[in-house]
Amino acid sequence: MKNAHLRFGWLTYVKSTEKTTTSIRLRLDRFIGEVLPDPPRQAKAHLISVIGGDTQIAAVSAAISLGDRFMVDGPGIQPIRVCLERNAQCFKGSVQLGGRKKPLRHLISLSEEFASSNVSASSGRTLLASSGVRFIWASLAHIHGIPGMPEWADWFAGELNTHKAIVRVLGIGCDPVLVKGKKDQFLSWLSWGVESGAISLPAETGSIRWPSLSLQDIFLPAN
Amino acid sequence: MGIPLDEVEDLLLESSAYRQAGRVLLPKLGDVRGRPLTPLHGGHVGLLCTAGMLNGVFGEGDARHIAHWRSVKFTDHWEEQEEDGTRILHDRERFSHELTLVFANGKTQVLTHEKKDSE
Repeated sequence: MKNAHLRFGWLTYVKSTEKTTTSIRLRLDRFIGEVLPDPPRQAKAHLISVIGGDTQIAAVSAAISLGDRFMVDGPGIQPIRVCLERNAQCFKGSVQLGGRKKPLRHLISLSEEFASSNVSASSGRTLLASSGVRFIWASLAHIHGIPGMPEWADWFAGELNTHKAIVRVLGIGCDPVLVKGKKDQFLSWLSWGVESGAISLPAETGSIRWPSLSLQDIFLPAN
Repeated sequence: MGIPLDEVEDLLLESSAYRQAGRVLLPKLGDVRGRPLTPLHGGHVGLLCTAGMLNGVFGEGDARHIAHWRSVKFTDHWEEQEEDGTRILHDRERFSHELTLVFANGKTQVLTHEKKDSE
């Protein structure tokens, strides 16, 4: 794909001590964050995916462990101060590029809330990395243990919109959403849907085949 | 030399970091297929049910329903008051199973090891 620089953002980390100031600026391919009402221009980061050299990635990983703050900016996002807060999970990898001796390091960090589906299920706030209706329905069915058919995705998306249960959150390289609601609520919608005939159980008895989803499906296609 | 972002963007989703994070980002949709070599007895069926491997459509008429099993962590919380006024807080975590049903007539039910829960 071409013009990736238009889709990538920047993550800036500045650490000042008595004697030195360290400043690191890394390319950010994906970001999910939730703007905080107070104080302004701050956000709680839920996903950060950055690429860079060994030292830079190690420094950012250490900063995440310490709960330090970063500046994030990118396409459609004005510079904003973000923090992953406590118990963030980090995943490291590397990308080998042609013509380079050393691989590029890759770091993904997820907030505790985003990494734990248990928290989502009990708090009534489910953060999802994509706004695709198939993905939202499959994720909610899995996280909350809701029985359903994959074909109900469009109907369920309509219910979420009707009840204003979907909120867009900040995203770079993806279109994340926050779904508000608990299992009881979703089940009552399903109950109404089946009773009214808007959705129906299949004629055949047997297991339900959910279509498999990949990261390519949920992240925005580069264009 | 700067980072060739076009190339990186194409390769990045294959990185081991995304492979690990994918387990969190993507729903785990169990798709179990196959035919057992010998007929399953009750114990086998029970194990498969509670593992969520037999989620699907069952029954006929008004009893027709979709069943979804999953494992859930339950936390019991209670407090004790000692004679000297000390308050002891207890939290006991345990895993149990939960079966959620949606019937053809619109009724829904959540069954756990605890009594009640019918809508």
